[in-house]
Amino acid sequence: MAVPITALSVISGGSSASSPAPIKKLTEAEIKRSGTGRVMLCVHDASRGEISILQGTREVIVKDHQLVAQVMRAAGVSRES
Amino acid sequence: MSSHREAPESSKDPVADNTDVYVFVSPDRPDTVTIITNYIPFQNPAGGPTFYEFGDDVQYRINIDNNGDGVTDIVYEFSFETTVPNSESFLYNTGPIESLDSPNFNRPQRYTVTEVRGDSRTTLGEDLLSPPCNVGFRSTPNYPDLANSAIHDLGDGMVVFAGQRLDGFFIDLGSIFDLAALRPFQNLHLISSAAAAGVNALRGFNVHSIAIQIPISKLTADGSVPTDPLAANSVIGVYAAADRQKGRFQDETQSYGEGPFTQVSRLAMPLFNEVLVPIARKDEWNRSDPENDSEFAPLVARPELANLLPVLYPDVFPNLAAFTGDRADLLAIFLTGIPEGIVPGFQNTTGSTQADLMRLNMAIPPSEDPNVNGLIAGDAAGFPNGRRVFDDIATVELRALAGLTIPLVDPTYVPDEAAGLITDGTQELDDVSYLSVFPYLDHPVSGYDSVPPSRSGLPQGK
Repeated sequence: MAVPITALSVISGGSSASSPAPIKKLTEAEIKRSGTGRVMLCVHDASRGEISILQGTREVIVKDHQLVAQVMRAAGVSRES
Repeated sequence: MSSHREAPESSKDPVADNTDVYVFVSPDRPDTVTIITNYIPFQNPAGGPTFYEFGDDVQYRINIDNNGDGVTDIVYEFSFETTVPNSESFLYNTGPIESLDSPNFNRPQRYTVTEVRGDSRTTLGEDLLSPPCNVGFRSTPNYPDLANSAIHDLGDGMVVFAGQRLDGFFIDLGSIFDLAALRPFQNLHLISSAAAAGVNALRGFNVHSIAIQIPISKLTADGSVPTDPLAANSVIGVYAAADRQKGRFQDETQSYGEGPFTQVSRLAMPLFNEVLVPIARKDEWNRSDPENDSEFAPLVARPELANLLPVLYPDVFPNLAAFTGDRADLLAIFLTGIPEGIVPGFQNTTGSTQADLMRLNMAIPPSEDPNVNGLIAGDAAGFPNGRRVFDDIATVELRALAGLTIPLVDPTYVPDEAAGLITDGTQELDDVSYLSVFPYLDHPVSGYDSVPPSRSGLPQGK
């Protein structure tokens, strides 16, 4: 599933018990370097714990079960239907 | 057809649908090779107000293997950017477009050409203008002059053109896709009707072409200009492709892409994906690379159409029906090139790596008396030694599939008489025109002058 980066704002406060340190906001310089500021995330298969990060013409694949869990929960997959 | 709408995904994405690839030694500049790759099939010339254009979000590629491993050594990339000078108008043009930079042209496209050799990227040209589509005599007067002004000199003997052309391919789609009927022989079809002349289903349709002319010395691995057709460095393998970014997002006002470009369409030998690859695997084939085509080799060795011909044309292909071996002739034609020793004085092999590439032996000069049936008619400068704009690849491939080329690798096989005769009947129509100079495909039909297909069509049985 693809999740727009804005959806991650709900988890950007660093309140997760599994996150050891608060997540700092991006600096102005970092935002400037990001070009359009747009990033797409894609979790092709949550069980693999991999998240594909698309930005500009780059793709970075991160293996991070905690991050995938955060994304999936932010997307509401853990809610009871 | 060659590769128009040949796969489920590409049929829904015309700007990235690679329809034909032509590769030939330029007849008027024989020290160069011309490569043409077409996109956006079946353009009704009157298809405004948003006339056809290349995709800003598509990366177009011409890939060249010059050392026989099936892996690309040289890439020519083409990326487009479209602007709207007058955002207040709904019009494609607000007056006659008499020059490429006319302020009346409200949808100009500019493009960049980049050459990639290994890690080295060289911008060959940027801000190059494409011509507008041929709208009509009021909007695009003097269209040939206007289009010719969009032939750009890239330096070092290279020229480029990107824009609308008349589709030069000809084939009787209406009949062929009606259970493989060939009108001149449909009296012999399982569901028979009177034999009739062929109908070119692409007549009067336009297409978008990217054409580039490149000195041969820039294409060989060692920078030489080969003169011996039997020398290994005389052969290159070419395929064209279209890429889209991996991620695509639709928001309230626009769509945009993120991530690396990934291949969504490719084409080299005509009809490969269209006829040899089953529909369930066509999208996969488009996204795979030629160097991995051994995976598809069984589809070439045992082509479905060769099995169907004896069924659809009872008693016409008894020898083909009785042939049970792998089609080594087709494996060579489509996947490795024809090795030395098969056709005297000729080869266009790129070695043992099986890859769908359009192979051209650049040491064979242009024919002074070209035959549209190419190599099977004794014209070694024609298909499947590359492909010229006028080559009748449908006839050549139909005859090959029907068994005409089996004796090249199995002298004991006797082709059925029909194998050397079958045609869809469009070769005789002479209803497609070409240019004798770059970019060789003719100027497009204008919207004003186009004639839509008849509502009633042809009488049944024709």
